Amino acid sequence: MFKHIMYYDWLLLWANRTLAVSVSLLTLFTAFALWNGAQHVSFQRQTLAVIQDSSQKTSSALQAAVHEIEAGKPYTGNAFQNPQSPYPIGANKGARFATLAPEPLALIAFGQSDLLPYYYRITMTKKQSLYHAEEIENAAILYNGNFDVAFVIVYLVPLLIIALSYNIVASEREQGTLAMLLSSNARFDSLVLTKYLFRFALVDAAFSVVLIVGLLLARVNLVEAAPQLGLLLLTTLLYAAFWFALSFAVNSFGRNSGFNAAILVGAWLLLVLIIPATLSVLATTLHPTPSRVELITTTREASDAAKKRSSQILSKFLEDHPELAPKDKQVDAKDFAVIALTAQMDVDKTLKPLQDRFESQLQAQQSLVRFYRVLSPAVFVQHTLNDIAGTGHERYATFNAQVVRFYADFQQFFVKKIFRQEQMTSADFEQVPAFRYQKPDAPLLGWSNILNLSLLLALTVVCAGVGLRRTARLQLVYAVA
Amino acid sequence: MLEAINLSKTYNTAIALHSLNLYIPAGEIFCLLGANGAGKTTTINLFMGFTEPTIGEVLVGGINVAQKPHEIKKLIAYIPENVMLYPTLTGLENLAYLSGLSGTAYSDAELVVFLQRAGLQKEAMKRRVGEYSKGMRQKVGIAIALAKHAKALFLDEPTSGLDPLASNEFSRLIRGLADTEGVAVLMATHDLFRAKEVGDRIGIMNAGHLASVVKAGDVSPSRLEELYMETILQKHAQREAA
Repeated sequence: MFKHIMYYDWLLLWANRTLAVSVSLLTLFTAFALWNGAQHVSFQRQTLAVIQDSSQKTSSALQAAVHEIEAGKPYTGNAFQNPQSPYPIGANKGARFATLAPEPLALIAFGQSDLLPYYYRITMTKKQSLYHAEEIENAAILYNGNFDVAFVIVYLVPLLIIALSYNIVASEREQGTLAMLLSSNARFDSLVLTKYLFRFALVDAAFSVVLIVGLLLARVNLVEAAPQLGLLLLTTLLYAAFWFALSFAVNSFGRNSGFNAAILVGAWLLLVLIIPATLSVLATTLHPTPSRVELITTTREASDAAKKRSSQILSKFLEDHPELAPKDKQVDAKDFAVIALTAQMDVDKTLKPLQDRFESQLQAQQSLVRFYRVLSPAVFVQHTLNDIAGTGHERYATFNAQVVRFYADFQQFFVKKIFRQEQMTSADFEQVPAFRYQKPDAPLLGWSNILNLSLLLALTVVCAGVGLRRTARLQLVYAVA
Repeated sequence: MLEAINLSKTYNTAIALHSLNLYIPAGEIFCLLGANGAGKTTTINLFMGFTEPTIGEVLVGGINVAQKPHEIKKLIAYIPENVMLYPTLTGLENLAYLSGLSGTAYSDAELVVFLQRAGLQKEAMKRRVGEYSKGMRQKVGIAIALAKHAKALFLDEPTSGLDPLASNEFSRLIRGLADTEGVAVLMATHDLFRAKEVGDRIGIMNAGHLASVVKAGDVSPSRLEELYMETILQKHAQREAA
């Protein structure tokens, strides 16, 4: 019986071109999103390769220059460019890059990766630059997101599902075929459920095929990305099931097609646009991060103050860090590097509360969104898709924390040399700390994502339950109406 | 085959059907005559299990409809005033789909036979139903009843809007079903002439009551018309007096 209903539903869908149009649009959107994602990730990879190459070349050149000086070739250049001087190396020329390589499926949800930097240029004097990035906001991208696969799944797939299912029950009544169906042996609720299951299977299968083919064409190693791909397909399956179940529940009230379409589009607006936007506004209103203007102003004020009382700061600093004082000579209080570095460290200290506030507000924003994500499947599905792609806030937070630690190590390396008035040797270049992102041990399908998928499943079961229960009584409603 | 025992149906305070007692044996065509709102469609809805009786019982093939609404679906077929089918499917596909829902899968050749028996021209069978006339759709409806091997057939104003030739052809097909297949037919109609021509018995309904029942062979068309008018006017007068 199921096969029979599915076959004729296929013929009906095919004849009125709904299916062809829906699947074509889905294919087109997904293909474009994959292409867009592939371009974006390719650009990221190229950028990281260039950075790596340039960083290595610069380091090698500096090391070679120091080697020549050590071999007896006198240095005749600008004193502030001297490769043996640790200050210019640590403050500029010997900058290291902290990079976050894209995950295998990064192309599916690169959404706001241009707001969350995937590399930082680390010098010993620019810690505040790590906090600038969060404020480089492109309002259009923040509102719409990028056209990636996650956008197709979260925003467009529900619309296609609505187009394919809003009138499954109502159309039978409106075209007059309901009487013939109700007088057949088939149970009406089973018939409607079969149609829903069939269309759900069609949409999910079409999307999965297009996605897998697209990923292969984008040269993604599907074996390497198998766990992520599995979770992606499972998330999409459950999200599509939720929208079909919601449509089933709405149809089961026996209203006309127009009413059903209005309710479902209203639900889409509420769940996909209004609730996520409201959560975003709430998060930034209730827990605002310090602005870039505030950061810059405080930095300047702290720098000015630090320069004015540089000798006091230096004395205090050496009291706090006696291990940095040179053993057989006095610290040169007029040394530019010592003055600049001491001032910078004082600025860092002054900025610490502001940076801590920034971190805690960001955490609070994320906690608020995480807590209230239950209000909209779109929010928690986006959350899971970002995790699958490796573009989620948690990964960036881990990266940023590692970058901050790395900045401290990097700075410490040069601080020792500057205060002890030691020169850079060619061997020192091998010792300059280098950043390596440490992937956290947390499993891909952590508690957060298990909760997301369970919520989605629970909502689907509730909606499908309402649909089944009410559809079973629909024939009586229709006959009396 | 079809039996109503003290059957009543009330919607809120309005009485749609009042104490109907009726038995239609296999092979008989029972025509229900009556004005709009007389209770004809309510009677058919009760027999088909589309609505539940307020009082009384409905039996199809001895099965209580209210208790086993899905069981009786195997025994019945329904042809409404307007048989509406899927316009993008052909007549053959519509028949295959709707007869398949009743649990029997037929080959195309068997389906063609059902459609031919229902009187549909062979060249029309593979055309989309969207191009069909009302009469052609009614024939597909009959083919569905044939394919289902229904024991009881409910017709609700089936010849309304059909031209005399198509009506005559339709009546002939229904008569054939009753005579050759032993199908019990309950037909609601406004058409006195058609009821007299096709029916074995004729019931005249008014305001939810089955006012009188006559054998079609025992009355002339003019007497049937008199009886119909008398019943309606009598009830009308009673209502006026009340």
